Amino acid sequence: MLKLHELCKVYRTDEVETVALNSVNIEIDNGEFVAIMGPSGCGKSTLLNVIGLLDNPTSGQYQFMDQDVTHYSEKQSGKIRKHNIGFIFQNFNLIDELSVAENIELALLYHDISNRVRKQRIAEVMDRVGIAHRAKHMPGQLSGGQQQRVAVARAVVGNQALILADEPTGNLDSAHGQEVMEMLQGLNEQGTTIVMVTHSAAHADYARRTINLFDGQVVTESLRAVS
Amino acid sequence: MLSSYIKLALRHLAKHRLYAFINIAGLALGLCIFLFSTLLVSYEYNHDSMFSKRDRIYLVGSVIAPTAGENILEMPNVRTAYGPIFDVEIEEAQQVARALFKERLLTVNNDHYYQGIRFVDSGFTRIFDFQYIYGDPTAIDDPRGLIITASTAQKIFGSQDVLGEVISLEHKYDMRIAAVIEDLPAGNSFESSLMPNFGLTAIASIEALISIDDFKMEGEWETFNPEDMTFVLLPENRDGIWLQDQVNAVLKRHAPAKEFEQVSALKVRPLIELNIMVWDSLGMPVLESVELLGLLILIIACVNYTNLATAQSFSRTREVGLRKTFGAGRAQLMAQFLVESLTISSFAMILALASIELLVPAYNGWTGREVTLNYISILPWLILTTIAVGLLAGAYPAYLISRLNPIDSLRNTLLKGRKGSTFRGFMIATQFSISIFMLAMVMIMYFQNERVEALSDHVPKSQIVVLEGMDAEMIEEKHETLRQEFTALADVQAVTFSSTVPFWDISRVREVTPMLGDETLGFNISMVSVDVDFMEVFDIELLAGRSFDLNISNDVFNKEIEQVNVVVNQLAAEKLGLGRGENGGMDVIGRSFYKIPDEQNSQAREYTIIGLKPDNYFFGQSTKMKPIAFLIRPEAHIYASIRVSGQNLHQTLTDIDAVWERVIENYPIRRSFLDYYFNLFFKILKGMNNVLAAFAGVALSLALIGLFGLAAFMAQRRTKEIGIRKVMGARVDQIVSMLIWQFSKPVMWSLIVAMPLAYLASSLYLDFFPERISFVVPVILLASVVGILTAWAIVASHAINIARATPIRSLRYE
Repeated sequence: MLKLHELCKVYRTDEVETVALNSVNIEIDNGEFVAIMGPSGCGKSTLLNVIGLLDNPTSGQYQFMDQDVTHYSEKQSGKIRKHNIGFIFQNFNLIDELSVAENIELALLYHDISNRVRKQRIAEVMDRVGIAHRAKHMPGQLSGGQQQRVAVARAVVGNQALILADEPTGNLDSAHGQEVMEMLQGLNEQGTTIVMVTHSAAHADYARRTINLFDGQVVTESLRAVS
Repeated sequence: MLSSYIKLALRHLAKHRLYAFINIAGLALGLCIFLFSTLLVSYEYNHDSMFSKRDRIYLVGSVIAPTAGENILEMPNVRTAYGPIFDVEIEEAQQVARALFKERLLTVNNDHYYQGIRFVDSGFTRIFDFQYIYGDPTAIDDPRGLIITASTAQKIFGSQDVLGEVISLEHKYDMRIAAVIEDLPAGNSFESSLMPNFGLTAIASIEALISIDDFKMEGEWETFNPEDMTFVLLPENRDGIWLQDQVNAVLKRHAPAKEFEQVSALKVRPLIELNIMVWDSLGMPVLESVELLGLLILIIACVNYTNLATAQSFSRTREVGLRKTFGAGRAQLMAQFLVESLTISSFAMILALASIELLVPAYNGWTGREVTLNYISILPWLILTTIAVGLLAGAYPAYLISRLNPIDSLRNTLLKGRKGSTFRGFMIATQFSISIFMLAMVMIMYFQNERVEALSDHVPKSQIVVLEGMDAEMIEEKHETLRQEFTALADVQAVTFSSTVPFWDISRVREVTPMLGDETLGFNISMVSVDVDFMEVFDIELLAGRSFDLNISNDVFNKEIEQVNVVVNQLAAEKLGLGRGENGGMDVIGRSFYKIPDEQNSQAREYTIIGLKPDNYFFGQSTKMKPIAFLIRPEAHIYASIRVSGQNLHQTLTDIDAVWERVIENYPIRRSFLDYYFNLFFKILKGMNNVLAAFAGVALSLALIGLFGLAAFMAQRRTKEIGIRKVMGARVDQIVSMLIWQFSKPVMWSLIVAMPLAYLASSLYLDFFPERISFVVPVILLASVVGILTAWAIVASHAINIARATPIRSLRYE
């Protein structure tokens, strides 16, 4: 599905140069569940942003679905994101002024689909994540776990092929965290490719493959034995 | 999509009520002022729609020559001599008619009414299609026919059915009511906002005027009355350019040579411009200024919104980042924020219209105007304005927010830091530039008005009772009786008769020369007819020479004598080459000057100076200082001025009225204080000052409201920083100073624009006045200081609250 070849990301200011990613080589196939781990500041979130076409690499190559997207403009990247990539953030990133249903609708709003189809898909996904009974509630009225379920629903409502999750359980207690991980596992079993950044080894175990980063470089990759 | 944007906009407004209020109220106020000023100006520009031939009716006016020494460039009148000439020489014109406004006495059954009457040529009722209740346009063909309006009929006869009723004009000329017409609706040029007492209430033939006055049908070349008009009705196939050519040819062929010293050209204007010409005759661009001020207020309101919306947009970067993450393009994001801005401008417009619904009737009641809100005709313009305001005010915030990089937006890194501060500073500077400019102009106009008033204090205006109409034959015979009877009253100090009074320039103008026969040294001098008590009544102390003495025969003018004694002012003496009264005035007293004969009056006359009066703007400050000669010419006396002590004023006035009733039968008294003549012009200055003060007040309030909102928002953004500073030991006053200084910089920048602009504008304004204040720069500095201090007060009011909060609350905020 995606290939990173000798990928580098450097942040430059007038006086400081920070190498966030250093010659990263990663390949992820369709249907994989990959966890990315490493200490704070090792470049995990940067790697996720590059994969999610939210940021451009400084050098190297990035192929996504057989397209070289290395130097894509924001407009081109937006198009690919819209149709192929779903995002789940640590701090949920729900819009406070929109209801649960409207937050989920955000992911379909810029697609070329009819109102009826949109409403239908939203209803289906809310059922799937178990949040339909809170459709008209505002994010401020939900618990952390419920908010993250809404975020998951938003990430999958467009039937995106790839889900990028940046510490999805970081702001949740263990019970809710487990809930979210089980949802992600379920999605992966249905064929969705998932790339997840996490600090938790326990949650990384849900993934088939774990990539460890340190100082912007891939230091190890390990596969979980299939049981 | 549109409905979701509008829904989101409404929810944002509900969530952030303070900013919603500031945004909507500010825009509503700006729109209200803009709409109202536009309505007022539109009302003045769209007069006379009740006349069906409006598009073909033209007015002939005069372009004033620089040598005339007037402040104004153009008058909506010409000499009364032109009318008959146009009628003969412009053959293709359908109608030509003069309309001369005079106030004359009408009497019915011993009831007397001073009535403004338009004495017209017969074409007048063919040019203007009045609504006839009784009679028809031919009523004016009868020299004794009088056309009156319905309200005039009601006033005089108690009924409108008065056709054929007999009415006496000046006790000399019997007329009969030949037609009754509907009162003209408001918005007709006969009753301008500036001259409300000249409404059309009665129409008579010019032949009636000839019978009661010394007016001649062929008119004359001497006088220029602003109320006298000459109208031309064009044929269907001709336009104003054609008429202008015809009129130019007439001027060239018929105008006497000396006319060009007063009038350099004639100018034709369509009737629709008549009301505007009356405004233009003030010499100041009043209507244009009102329009501009309204627009400036709207700009301030839009700038307010832009600034606040831009600042607030930084709290929505996360939302923007998310939307971009999920595929929103820039155009879609811009559309979302523009829809929000349009939603706010729509609310603001509704509020503005609700305010205008209250404002317009109040204005109409106060002024007697009939400004109307015709929603059907102005709806497209209202919608356009709403859209324009929403788009203009919202464009920059929409552009800015849609440009954001999604990753930076999601990280909220834009919330930290000073992004956009230059633009915000620029916007604040713009608002305060306009506000301080207006404030400076208000102060300058105020002080200039004070100066004008102070310069008029050489005459005790409130102690002089002026009676009009002293030239009526029956009253003229009784002048001396009136003088004796008035003087006998306890509180009356002196009585004088004259052809005019101070602050009222209706003097005759003569061309004179210091050297007999030498016309090259000629100049125009205003001749004011007075009597022996004139100098005493008006506190005129002569610089040299003496006042008039009835025992000296040459002190009193009569047509037989070739030499008459006069008192002149310093400017007249200077123009005669005699200096301004240095050396005790000996170079002036006893010297003579001579009237230059003309086609109308070939008699030469010598004027010998017996007294020198100081220059003190006898006619007021609406005109430049003029050379004036005072002489005793009793037959020219139109006014009586009674100087009273001012004690028991009410009783004194009652006594004056009683004397009048006893001495003068059949003529009601017309009296006012000299104040009235001064205020004819001064009230316009005061009115302009008050209007500008209102605009300036609104402008400054809007700027301060915007500053308040912005200060609140920026302080909120810096909550964590303030908390940390307090932990590090900063005092409240240090925090407050830091916050105040953030906003002081753009306010200071605004002075760079406001001060020179105010200086320039005030120079243009003060150019109108012959005497002007000299302390313009200090006044502008004062306005600047007021602007800065009010800005500091607003910011400080918020900063103190923030600075006093305990640091831990600030730090927990993050």
